Amino acid sequence: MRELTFSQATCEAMAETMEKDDKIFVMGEDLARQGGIFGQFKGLPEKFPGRIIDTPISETFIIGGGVGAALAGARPVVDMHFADFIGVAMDEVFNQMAKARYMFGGQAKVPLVLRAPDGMTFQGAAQHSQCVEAWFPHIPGIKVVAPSNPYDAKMVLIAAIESDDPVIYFENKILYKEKGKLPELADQVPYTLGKARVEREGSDVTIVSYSIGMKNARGAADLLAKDGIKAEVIDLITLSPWDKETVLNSVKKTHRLCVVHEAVKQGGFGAEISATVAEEAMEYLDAPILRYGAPFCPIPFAPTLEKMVRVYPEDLYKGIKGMF
Amino acid sequence: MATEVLMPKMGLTMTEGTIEEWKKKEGEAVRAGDILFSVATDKLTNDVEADTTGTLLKILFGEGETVECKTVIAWIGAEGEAIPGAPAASAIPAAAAAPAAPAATSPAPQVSTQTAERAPGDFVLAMPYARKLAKEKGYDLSRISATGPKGTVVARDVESFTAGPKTSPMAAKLAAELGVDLTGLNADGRVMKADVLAAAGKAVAETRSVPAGVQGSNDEAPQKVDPLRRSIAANMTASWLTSPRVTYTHPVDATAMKDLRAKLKDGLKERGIKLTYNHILMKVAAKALTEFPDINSSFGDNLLTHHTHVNIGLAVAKGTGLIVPNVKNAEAKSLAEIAQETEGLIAATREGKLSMEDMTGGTFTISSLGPYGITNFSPIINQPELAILGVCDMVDTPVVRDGEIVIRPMMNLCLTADHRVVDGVMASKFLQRLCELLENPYMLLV
Amino acid sequence: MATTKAAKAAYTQDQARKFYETMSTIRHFEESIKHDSLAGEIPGFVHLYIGEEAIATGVCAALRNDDSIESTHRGHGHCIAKGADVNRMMAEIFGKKTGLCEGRGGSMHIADFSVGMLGANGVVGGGYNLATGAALANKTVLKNDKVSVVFFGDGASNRGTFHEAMNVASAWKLPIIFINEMNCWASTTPYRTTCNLENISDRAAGYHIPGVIVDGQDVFAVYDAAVEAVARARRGEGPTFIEAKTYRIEGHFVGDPELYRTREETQKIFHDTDPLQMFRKKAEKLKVMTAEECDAVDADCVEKIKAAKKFAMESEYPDSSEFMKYVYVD
Repeated sequence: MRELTFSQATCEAMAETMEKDDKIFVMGEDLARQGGIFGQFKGLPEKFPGRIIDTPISETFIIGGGVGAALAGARPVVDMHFADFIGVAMDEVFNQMAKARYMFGGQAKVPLVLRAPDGMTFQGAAQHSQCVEAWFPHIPGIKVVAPSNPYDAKMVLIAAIESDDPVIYFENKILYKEKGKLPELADQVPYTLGKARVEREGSDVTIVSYSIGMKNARGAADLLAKDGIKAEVIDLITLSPWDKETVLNSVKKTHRLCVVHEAVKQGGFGAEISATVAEEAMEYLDAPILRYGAPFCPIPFAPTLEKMVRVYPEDLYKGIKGMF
Repeated sequence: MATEVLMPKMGLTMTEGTIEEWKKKEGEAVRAGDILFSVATDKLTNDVEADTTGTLLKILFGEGETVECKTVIAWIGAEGEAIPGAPAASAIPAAAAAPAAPAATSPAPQVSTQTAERAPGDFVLAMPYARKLAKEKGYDLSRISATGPKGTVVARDVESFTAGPKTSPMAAKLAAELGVDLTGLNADGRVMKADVLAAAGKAVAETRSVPAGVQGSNDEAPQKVDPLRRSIAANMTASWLTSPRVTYTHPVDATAMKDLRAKLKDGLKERGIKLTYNHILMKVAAKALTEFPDINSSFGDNLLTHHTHVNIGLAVAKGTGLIVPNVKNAEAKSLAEIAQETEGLIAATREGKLSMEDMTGGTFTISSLGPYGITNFSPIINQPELAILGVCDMVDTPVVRDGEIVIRPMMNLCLTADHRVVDGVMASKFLQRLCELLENPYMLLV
Repeated sequence: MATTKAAKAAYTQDQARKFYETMSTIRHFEESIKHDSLAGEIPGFVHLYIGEEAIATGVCAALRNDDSIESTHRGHGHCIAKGADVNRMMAEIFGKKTGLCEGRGGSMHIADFSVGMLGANGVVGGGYNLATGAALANKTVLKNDKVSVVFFGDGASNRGTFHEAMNVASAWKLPIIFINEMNCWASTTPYRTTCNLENISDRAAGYHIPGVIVDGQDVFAVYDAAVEAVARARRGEGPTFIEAKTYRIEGHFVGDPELYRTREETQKIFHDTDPLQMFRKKAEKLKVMTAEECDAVDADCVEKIKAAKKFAMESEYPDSSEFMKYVYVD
C-alpha cells in the first residue's frame, strides 16, 4: 500500500496510460508550464514533451479540437481549468462530442476525456465553484464520472482514457489534496465504467453519493452508527450510465434512501436517483426519500454566505433520524 | 420549537371565524391530520386538522370566541416546551433534547406509539413498504397503530402487529367495512370471512340491547349534531326570517328537453361528460336570468344589488346534509361546460374537497327532488339570493295537443321568490320564460 | 491579400473529365433530391448545393483520399466530391439501413469516414474546431502529412468558433485549409446586412493566414488555389484561407418560400454563372473536353443517379429495435 493525494493519483493514471499509447495527448490552459493550476499534471510535461499542450483561452477549440483530434484517430485528454467553463463550449460537448458516433452511424469513435475540476474552494464565488455534473447525464452519448478518493481517481481516469466513448471526468478541487491508500501497481484493480461501489454495508438506510458528497455520506454514517443506525453507503462513481441495480438492491434491503451531493438540489442528479427508486422500488420504501444538495442559489462569495449553500453531515444525520 | 396554530382563512371572502369546539384539550397529544377544532363562518362550519405532531401546549381562544383570520389561537410543541412570549415553563426536562442514545441500541422510534383512531374505511397514512408487508400478512392497515413520522404506519408497526390473528384479505376488508375488531376474534388459525360476519352480527345484537339516555325518560341522551347540520339549521332559519316568499308552480312539457338530452348525451359521453336534466335546467335558468336582472340580485338595507354574472347553485346532498356549490358565469358557458363543471362540483362536494369559493357567490339556486317522485314543493331561498327553483318529477300525463289527447312527460317547476323584490307578475313571467325555453330549446341559440 | 492567378494552361483531359463528372453528379444528385423532397418522399430538412458545385469539386480534387474534410449542413456536394458512394448517400438521405450512417444521420449528418469525409454538421460553424483538432492530431500526435479542410458559408464566418479555430491554426501552423463558400446568403439574410466586410478573406490577415479570393464558379480556379494551399499545408507552413465567391441558387432549404428575393433574380445569376456551363466554355477553349463529351457525362450521371435512387428505394429502413445501436461503443 502507498499513500497518494487525489491529484498525484490522477498524474499516475495519465503517466501510465500515456506510456502505453502515444496517441494520447493532453491539451488545455496552463498545463505545460504550470502543471495544471491544481498540480494535477505535475511532472507530465517533462515526461512527455510535446504531448502536453498549452492552448489559448479558447474553450470551444479545447473541446471541439479534442473531438476533431479524436475523429482523426488520436486519444485526447482535454482540461477545462474549471468545470464552470464548459458552458462556453456547450455545443462542442452536446452536439459534437456526444453525437458524432450516433449520427454518423457508428463510423466515428470519440475516445476523449474532458477533465472538469469542480466544487467550492477558496471562496471561488459564482463562476468558479459550481458542481455542474447533473447537466451531462441528460445527454445520450457521453459518459460521466465523479470519483471520490485517490484510488478511484486513478482507476476511473484510466478507464475513462481507455474508453472509446467520450467521458467527462469531474474532479473536485477540495479532493485534490486528500490523501488515500493505493495498492501497489501489480495489485490495482481496473475500474469498469458504470459500476457503483457499496463502500460500507448497512441494514437501516441507504446513503448514495459521489465525489465530495461522499464526505457527507461517510460523516453521516459515522454519526448514525453511534445511535445504532446502520447506514449502507454507496459511492456511485459513474453518473452516466449509472448503476441502478446496486442502488435498487440496497434500497430493497434497507427500505430507506438518502441522496446527497454538493450541487444544487433542484434538478440535481439526486433527483434522478430518487425518481428511479420511486419508479422501480416504491413498494420497498418505508420512509419518504431524503434528498440533500445546495439551496437554489448561486455560490456566494463571503464565507458567511458560502457556508449556507454547503451540506453538512449533521444535516443528513438529523434528516435520517427523522426517517425512523 | 413550538408551532403556532392559526385561525385559517378558508376562501377569499372569509375574514374571521368563530371557534365552535376544541376537539383536543391542553396537554393532549396531537398528530398531524387529527381534527384539532371546528370553526364556524357565516357560510359553514368546518373541521380543522392539525398540521404538526406534538402536544397541544396552550389554547389562546376558547369556544364561541370570534377571531380574525391568521390570528394565533393555540400552540403545539414538545411536551413541557415553553411557548414564545410566555414565561418560561417549569423545569420539566424536554423530551426532544434527550442526548444521543448509547451505541449499539437498535433504531429507536422518535414518536411514542399511539393507538390508531381511525374510522373504518378512512385513508391510512402508511409507507409503501408497510403497505406491502400488511398486504402480505393479511392485516387491515387501519387497525395498525402508527409510530412513523406524521402519524404514518411504517414497517415496524406492521411487524409488531402480531397480537391479532392471521386474517384472509377478504376478511380484513370486510372487517374494516363493518368495523369489526379482529383482535377479539377467537378463530382457529386464520380469520375468514365467515368469522367476521358472525362477529358483526353479534356486535349489532349487543348494540340493540344497550339502553341509552336517562332512565325513566322517553328521550335518549341528546347528541351534538355535526357542523354541517348546524350550519344548515342556522342558514335555513335566517332565510325563513328574512324572505317574505311565495312559491309559484308551472307545469312544463319535458318532451323537447328529453329529446335534447337524448340527442346530446352520447356525444358528450364520448368526451367524458355526463349530461343530466339539471344541467339543461341550469343552462336555461342562466339564459332567463340575464333577461330578468332583478331576480339575479340580492337585497338588503333597502339596497338592490344586481349581479353582473349568473352563478347558479345546485343543491347537493352530502351524507345526511346538504351543500350548494355554484357554477360561476353560467350565462357565458356552454351546456357541456356547465355539465362538466357541475359534475366536478358534485364530486368535490361528496369528497369534501369543495373550496370556499365554490360555495359562495351564488346568485340563484336549483333544487331537484324529481328523483324522489315529488311533484310539488316549496324550496327555501338560499340567502342572499332572491329566488330558488324547485324541480319536480317528470310524469307521463295525458294532455291535449291540437285537440287530441296525447301522453306527454310533464314536470312541475316550483319557483320560490322573495316578494320584497320579485312581485307575482315578474315571478310568473320568469317562470313562463323558463318553460318556454325548455319546451323550445333552440331559442337558447337566439 | 493574394488574388487568384490566371488558370494554369495545362490540365489533362482526365482531370477535366473528372471535374465535370463530379460536378454533373452533384447537380443531378441534388435535382433528384429536390424533386423527391418536394414530393414528400424524403423525410427531414435538405439543403441543396446547386450552383456551388465547382467549389467542392475543385478543392477535393486537390486532396488525397486520406486527407479529411469537415462539411456543412449543405454537405451533399462535399460528400460526393470527396468520393463517397452515391448509392449509400442516397440511401442515407432516404433514411435507409444501407445508408452511409445506417439511417442515423440523414442529409444534415451525412458522412463517409472511409473517404475522409468526417461529417456534415447541423450546427452552423460547428466544423472549424473539429477540422483544426484533426489537423493538430495529424501534425503533432499522429505525425503524418494529412491535410484537413473545413468548408463553411459566409453566415458561419460570424460564429465565435471561427476566431478560436483560425487563431489556433495559425499559432501552431496547422495543416488546415479554410474554404469559405461565399454564397451571399445566411439562411434568409443577405450577408452584407450583418457584416461590414465585402470580402470575408480580409479576416484572414488578422491571423496572419494568407487569404485568397477565387471565382467559386470556376472549377479550374478553385482547383489551382486548393493545390497551392494543400502544398503549403503539407510543407508545414500552416493554414490558407480561400474565399470562393459563389451564389446560393436554391432556397435555404427545399421548401423555402424565399420571400426575401425573386425567382428572376436567382435565375439570372444562375444563367450567367452556372459552373457547369462555365466549365463547358473553358474546357472547349482549353481543348480538354468537348460539348459532346460533356453531354455524354451528363447522360451517364442521369443513369447513375437513377440507379442510386433505385438502390435507396429498394433498401430497407433500419430495424426499429436497433435504434439504440451506436449511442456508445461499449
